[in-house]
Amino acid sequence: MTPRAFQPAATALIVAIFVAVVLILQPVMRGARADFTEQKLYTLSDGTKNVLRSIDEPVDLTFVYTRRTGQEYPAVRAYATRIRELLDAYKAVAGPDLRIREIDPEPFSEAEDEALAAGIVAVDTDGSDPLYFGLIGGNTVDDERVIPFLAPEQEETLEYDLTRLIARLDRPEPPTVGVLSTLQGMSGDGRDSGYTFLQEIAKSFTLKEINEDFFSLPEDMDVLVMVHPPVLNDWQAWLVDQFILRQGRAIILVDPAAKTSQGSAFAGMGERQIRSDLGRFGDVWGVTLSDDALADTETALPIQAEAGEGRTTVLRHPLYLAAPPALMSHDSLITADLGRTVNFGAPGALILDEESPFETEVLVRTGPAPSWIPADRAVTELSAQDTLELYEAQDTAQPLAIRLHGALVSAFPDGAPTPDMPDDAVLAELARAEAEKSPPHISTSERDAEILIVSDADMVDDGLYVNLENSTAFADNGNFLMNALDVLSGDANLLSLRARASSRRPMTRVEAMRDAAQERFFDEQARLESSLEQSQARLQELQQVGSTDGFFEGDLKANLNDEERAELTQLREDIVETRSRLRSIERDFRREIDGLESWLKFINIFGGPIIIGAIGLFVWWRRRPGARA
Amino acid sequence: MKVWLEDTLTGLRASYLRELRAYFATPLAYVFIAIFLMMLGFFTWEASRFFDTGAADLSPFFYWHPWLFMIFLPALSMRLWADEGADGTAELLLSLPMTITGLATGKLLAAWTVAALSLVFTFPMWITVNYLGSPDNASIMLTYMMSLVMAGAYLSIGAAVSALVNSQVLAYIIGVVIAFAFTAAGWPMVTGAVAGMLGAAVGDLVAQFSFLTHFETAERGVLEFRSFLFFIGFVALWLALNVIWVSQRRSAAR
Repeated sequence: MTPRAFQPAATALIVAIFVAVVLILQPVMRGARADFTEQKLYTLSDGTKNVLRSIDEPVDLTFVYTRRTGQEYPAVRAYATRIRELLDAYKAVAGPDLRIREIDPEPFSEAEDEALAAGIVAVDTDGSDPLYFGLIGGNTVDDERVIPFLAPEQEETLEYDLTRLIARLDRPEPPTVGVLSTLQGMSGDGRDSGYTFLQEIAKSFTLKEINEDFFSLPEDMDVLVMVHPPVLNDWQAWLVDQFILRQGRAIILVDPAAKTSQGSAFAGMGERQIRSDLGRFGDVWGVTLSDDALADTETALPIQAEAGEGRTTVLRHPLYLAAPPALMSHDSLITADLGRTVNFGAPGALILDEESPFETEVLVRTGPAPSWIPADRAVTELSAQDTLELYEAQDTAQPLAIRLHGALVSAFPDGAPTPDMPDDAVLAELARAEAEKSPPHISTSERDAEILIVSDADMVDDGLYVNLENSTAFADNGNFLMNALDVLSGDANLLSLRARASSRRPMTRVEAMRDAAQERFFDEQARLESSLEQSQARLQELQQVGSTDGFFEGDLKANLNDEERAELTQLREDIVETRSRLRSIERDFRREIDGLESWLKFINIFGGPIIIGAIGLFVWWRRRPGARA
Repeated sequence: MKVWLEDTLTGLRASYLRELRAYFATPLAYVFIAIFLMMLGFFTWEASRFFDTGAADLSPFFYWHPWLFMIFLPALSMRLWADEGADGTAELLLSLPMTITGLATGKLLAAWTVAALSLVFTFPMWITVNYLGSPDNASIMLTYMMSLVMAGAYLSIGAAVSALVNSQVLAYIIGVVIAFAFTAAGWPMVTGAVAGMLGAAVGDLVAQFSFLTHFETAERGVLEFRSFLFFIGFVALWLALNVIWVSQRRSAAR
């Protein structure tokens, strides 16, 4: 081979080898990765692995993605790659019981019909073909669950969503939820009556109603929901206790002042139960409900109120709390994704015993300065004005909703109590039969408990979060409770997925500066605005005095004495000055943050070059001719 | 074999030290690093509006690395071999008892060291995010490391090309064009167009050869071994081409 021919030939050979090796290795090494992120965002969690390993019947996943259209959007393209690889990782763990395929629904293709039939959303893109980007899950009994659109912003919950989908497909019959409540809207089968929340439960779960005078709990119950429960007798409390030790899944809404409690069947006639609490469980768990209700001016919800003479007006009522997402836990899946407020009506506070051995997490809390309002007053139609008169600001935020987690002990250390039998012989016989079905007493948890406790029962009332005209929610009360049910009814594997923290890392220093500035400037602004108002009122007063008498003489100040005239001039000056200060406050508001930004920008753009320049100059100075003396 | 290894190591050491000294003997390296840092800072703060993102996260900073490397690094490597040809020192160099592999590796490592220094001097950015919030430092370190490996890939293109042509300017221009091809192959605009013409599968295939594709996972804080191997393999490929092209010249000179 001549040297001249050798070079191109060798070049071509080496390039060909490289291309071949890349093409072979890239697919082979897919998934071999080390996750350096602090929260291990890109590693399958143990929960997912457990779900995947325990699939009984084959589950089919169909990834629907219009490649041609998706390729034009970097975020979608990157996310599609991520999903494909996540599915591969799932497949690697699950084995043959998880069947994955991908379809590319080009326009007018069979794949498009399949995607549309399953309910995948066709996203309009300007100009080109619609984008289909979703996931269809199916199982052997033709159940179907669909993620209509895989939004790249929801990458955080992608694994949870996928795993939940698989878990639901693997166990097609929905979990059973038992509901015990003294509230009228929470009783019934939820088919076409009752609160929206009750109807939502009936849609997604098997709903079992528990009567107030129950002698046994539904046998196959997965989650117990108690909303403003009646006072339980020993036997009933023991049943609940045993359920919690065995199944460990409960949502308990108690209330020191249940404004929506109607009283028993004979409307208003019977004794109206105002308070419900955790009873003997409180002492065991280290969580008790306060005696008084809470009001909070910071989160006061605007509500319609009587303004007299048959008119209504909208005003913020401190006894109705609208807790914004900022006052919720961002770590818990129950609350992390809520974007709107969760509204409460005269809630209590959950008092946590510091020494309780069980893990608690506050999910929702009040603003920093709530006030106690006596429960007997809070439960009446207390006006906003009256509430403010009773208001004594406290200096700590109070928990409104908590999650209790861990292995619990029985509230009945001495074992099962004997049931109180009804006097009627027939009923007593039935009750005895029921009672005998109950399983033997256990004194510690068989399974870690996971309990949501909320200090308000009124929050399930449609009036607090559903717009009755078009039955859409305006607050996240329903989402909050349904999230909780979803999370609790899934198996423990799903719960562990929840621990994933958000990958968002805010510039905390800037946020703190903004908050501080806001506080400082809002105070100042409020002060200036009120002094402006006062000055203006006084000015008007003086002018009125002047105008009534002095008007006809053309001299508005005619009727004012010297002192008042001086005051008038002074007031006008004050007003001008206050206004200009208000304007400058608005300018000042961002000044510090802007200052920080320009400093950092300068350091980062010019800092490195300046250091390099200095080093260069130093080297040059050392090496210049004659430097070596 | 043992002799070859010794000659390679001698060549590596000699050319590494020589080239490194050459970089810092003239203002070239200083000016290069300074302008690179300024551009990177400018793009991060002005084009990506880093501060307005409100996140203590360096992704708007790392986003620009491939694109700036594409412009700057061929300038760093353009003189590695083109100079030798122009000055006629190549003949002398190649007659010494050193292997070309050793020489080429040493030269590449010298340029790589300058690139590493440039990355080191972006430390104000790292301090800034730590001052503003609490970033994920482990993943930032990984991204820095991958960025450095990627810089080697860009440099190896320029070094090999400079062995092919005698003019620095020509070496720079060809270097940038090749670097652009390997960067843009993963660019949505290009992959979209390729997919449109040749089908989606070809689009994905082309994207596998792009630096952007391989750097992307590292930007998120995940070390993808195949991406790491891709960059290392890429450097090996161009180093081999470099050696072939230089030895061609040596045999032609004889």
